[in-house]
Amino acid sequence: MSFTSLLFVTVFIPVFTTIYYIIQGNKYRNIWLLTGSLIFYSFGGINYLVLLVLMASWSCFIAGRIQRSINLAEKSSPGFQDGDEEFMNPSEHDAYEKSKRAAKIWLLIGVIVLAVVLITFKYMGFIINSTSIMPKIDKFREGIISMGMPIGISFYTFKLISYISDVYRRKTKSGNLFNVMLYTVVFHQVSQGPIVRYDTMASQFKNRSFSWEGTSNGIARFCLGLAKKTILADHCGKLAGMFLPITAGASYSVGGAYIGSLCYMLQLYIDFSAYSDMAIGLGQMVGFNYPENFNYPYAATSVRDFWKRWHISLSTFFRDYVYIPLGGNRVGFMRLILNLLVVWLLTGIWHGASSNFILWGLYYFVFIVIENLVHKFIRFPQCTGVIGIILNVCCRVYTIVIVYFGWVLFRISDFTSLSEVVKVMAGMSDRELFSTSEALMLRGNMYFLIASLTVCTPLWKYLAEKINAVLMHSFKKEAREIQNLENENSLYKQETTKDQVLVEKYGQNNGDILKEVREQDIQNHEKMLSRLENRLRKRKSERARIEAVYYGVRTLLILFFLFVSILSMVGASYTPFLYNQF
Amino acid sequence: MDENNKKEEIITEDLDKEADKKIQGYGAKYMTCISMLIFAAIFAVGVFAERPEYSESEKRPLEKKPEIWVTGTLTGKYFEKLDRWFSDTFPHRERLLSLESGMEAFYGSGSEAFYGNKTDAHEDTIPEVSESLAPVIELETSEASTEAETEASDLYSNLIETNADGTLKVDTEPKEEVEITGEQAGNIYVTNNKGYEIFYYNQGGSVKYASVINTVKALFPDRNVYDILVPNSFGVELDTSLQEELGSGNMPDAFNYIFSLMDPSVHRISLFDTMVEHKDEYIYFNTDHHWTGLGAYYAYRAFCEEKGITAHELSDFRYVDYTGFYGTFYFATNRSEELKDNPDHVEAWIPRGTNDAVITDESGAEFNSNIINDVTEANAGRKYNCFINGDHPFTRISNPAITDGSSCVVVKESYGNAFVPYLVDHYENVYVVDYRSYKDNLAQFIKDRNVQDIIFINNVQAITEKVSGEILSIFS
Repeated sequence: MSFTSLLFVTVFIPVFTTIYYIIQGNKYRNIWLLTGSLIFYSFGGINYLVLLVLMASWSCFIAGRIQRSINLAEKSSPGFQDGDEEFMNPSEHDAYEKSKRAAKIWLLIGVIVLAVVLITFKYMGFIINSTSIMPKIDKFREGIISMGMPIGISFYTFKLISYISDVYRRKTKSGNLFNVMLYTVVFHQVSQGPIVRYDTMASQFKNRSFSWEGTSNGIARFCLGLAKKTILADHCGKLAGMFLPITAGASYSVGGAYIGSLCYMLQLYIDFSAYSDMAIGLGQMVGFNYPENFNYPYAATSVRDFWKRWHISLSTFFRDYVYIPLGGNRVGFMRLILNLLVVWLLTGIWHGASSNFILWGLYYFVFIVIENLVHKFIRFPQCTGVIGIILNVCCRVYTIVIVYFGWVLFRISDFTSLSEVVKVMAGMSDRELFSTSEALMLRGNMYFLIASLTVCTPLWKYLAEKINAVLMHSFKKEAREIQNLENENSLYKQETTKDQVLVEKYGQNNGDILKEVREQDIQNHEKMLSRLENRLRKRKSERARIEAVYYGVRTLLILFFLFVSILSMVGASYTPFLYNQF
Repeated sequence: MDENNKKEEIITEDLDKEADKKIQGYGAKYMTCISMLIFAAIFAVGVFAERPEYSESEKRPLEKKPEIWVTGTLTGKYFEKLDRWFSDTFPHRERLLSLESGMEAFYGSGSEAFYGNKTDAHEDTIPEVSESLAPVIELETSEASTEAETEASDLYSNLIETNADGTLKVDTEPKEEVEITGEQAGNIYVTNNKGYEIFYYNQGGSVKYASVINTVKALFPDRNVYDILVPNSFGVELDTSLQEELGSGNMPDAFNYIFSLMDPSVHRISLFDTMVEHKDEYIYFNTDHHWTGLGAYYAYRAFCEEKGITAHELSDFRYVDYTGFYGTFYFATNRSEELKDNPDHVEAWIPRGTNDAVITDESGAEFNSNIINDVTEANAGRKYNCFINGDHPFTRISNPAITDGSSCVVVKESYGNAFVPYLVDHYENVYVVDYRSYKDNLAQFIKDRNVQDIIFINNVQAITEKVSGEILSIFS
């Protein structure tokens, strides 16, 4: 099932969430979440569900083994702490080493099996096609190619690899089969990530709190993602195909190639970030907090910055499980280059079994190395003011240009088409600059493209934060009034006790005066009280008004987003998420 | 001092937090509840409301609810079908789809628009008049090759220009499956509330087409072979310079070139000048790629002139008019608002001799129909089926008022449908063959029935190598 299928939006979500809210207690809710997720995944075919269950069980088993070895290692050297190895006696040390080695071997076996399964499903077609292994057994070949790729296998395999590695690195304890299964198949993430770490999830399986704010934010986030995908991303994709078709022998002009690539760039970001929005939103609806997967990558100031903002869960995966184990940046320069090369080759290959993805990975490798060199040898002075702004803009433009051409590489897997497109874009063809049909198409989609562009900038988020701040401010103002009232009351209490003391002390002599003082006090207090209460009432109604408008508008927006999304989803013409193919 | 301030700030912040808890905001709660109600409402509509079974706009029966089968659940095919059925037959789909296009009207500005459905549009330059004729193709009549040919045409049958009911194929499948673009709704240009299908000249197709006509003439040197080329509204009604900008602008040159490739004994009728002469009349639909009955009538006059007979006047026929027609342009442009404001009506003139036709459908079964059918009740998108009941492999019309044994075969795609009714009053038998779905050997048929006139009527978009191959295949 896809997040943007009507079956999911109109049947799965209402049924799943209603039952989820009716069920009480995290334990039962988790069981329901697992059931729902298994149903969700089985829509991709029960065969693939079996594969997923096997993979999760395997990882659970491996993690258990690793955990046991680690426990043994720790038991064999009580009082052991990292770096204290020299204080161990030899027999202890041996036992420790042995268990440690056992854990390492289990980890290796686990990762290799997971990787082999992933490679088999993802790259077999490519390997068979591009090499001459088994050229004669056509049936076998066809069988493998027709087997297809299980949905989300790249994502959940990586999750499982991160899980067993985390157990090995003692970042987390191994979990039971139920938790591991739920971690693997939870329907928010199973088809397209984000690749969330096990301990983040496991802690939330145990404790997660329900709040109306969280749930309403989740629903809003989901609907926003849905609309982004169905309204913006899909149409961007259509435009990309019309301006710059990737079918062989297509006709397009120079301008068409540029605009088509721009549309593709918009589509890719909006499509995938919409998916992440939906995943995060679905999580929030049932009390989960997932880390963000995108942080306005097209507003990055360098290529390195871009990768800190684009598909964050993937780049941190490669950072934590490949780059850092290889030594990270605490190694010699040549070794660093090698490490980076490995990371970027893997990043490229992960995206698919096609040589253009590898090329795309290497493309980023080159720019990352260049940026590393620049950082190493040139110290940029801190610039402020106008020069700073200009420099900032230049950095952003540079990044966006690199990323733009990167997506051209990314999009076209056929090398003859690719070189043709590159030639056209470089002006080395006799194609016209712009064709009338393209001009008409551009004019007919002008507002749409502008809207799509703004979605790639933090503009809307900034606006939402500003509006949210107004609401928060009104809450704060009301809270302050409440506080003032309380302060006044406690102050009065203090006064009266002070008065009491005075009365007791001087009661006999100046009773009248004291009485007067006291009355004065009461009067003052009541005056103060009514003033404060009035103010509180005012603040309260103000807050309530702002709150009503704030949530009212958001509810209307949800309704609107849902409605327009359904408009686009009706008919059999839904477009799968781009990243589903990776 | 600073520290004190900080402390104070921290204290007040803490107070704020505590106070926050005291303030009960109901906004989020209401928002959640209302949103869940919205979801419940969508659920109710999606599950309980009545589902449509036929799409008027796309002219196709909608997906059927799949039966569950074991391997289908294992491979996921069943769920895929279920998913597709669910969204394809969603309640009120037509209204929702048309709302969506209403939304798309805000995407940009301008009353002109371009709708690209065909990404591999390729334009050749039109050569000057050819010195030599297009070659006659040797027809192999051995069983094996016939089989291969029909198989090939079967392969093409789902790629051809129009669906069986005379409408352009509109792409509704997911993108990935559209590798084979075939000839779907072409690129459409909309201006002044009228759609035009952009024409791209195709050199290979032109030569092959002429070749095929020459081949047929060589097969039947003693019969009359007529070839009528019909320009579309793009070539007739738009400025030449605009045509040049969008596609190929010189349709008459293309016709002349094609005719110059043909055996001079073929009766070649270019309708370009005829249509231009009447371009201010209602000869092409606004929202459909076909011509109107009136357009076809002028073609008929040109035909009569070439054949040397007197054409009937329009006033000689009984006139009917069916309103509320939205054609392929409307749906291929995703229901352009521009076109929505300019619906078509179907005018037709009923032949004097008879209004009866016998149609053979794809399965070979015969049924009776009218020549001019009443389409008052037909769906908005199917009113062009008024003429000889739409596209069928074979149609026979016998005029009881004529008994001279004369007969003709019309080899056509859907453009021919509007033309056929006028021929009825000049022949005892009119046989209509749709080259895309006809399975028998037409050459044999012509010999058997001793058909005198072989009339090819093709519109300009049909002049491609594929169509030529299909025409050729029915003669062998």
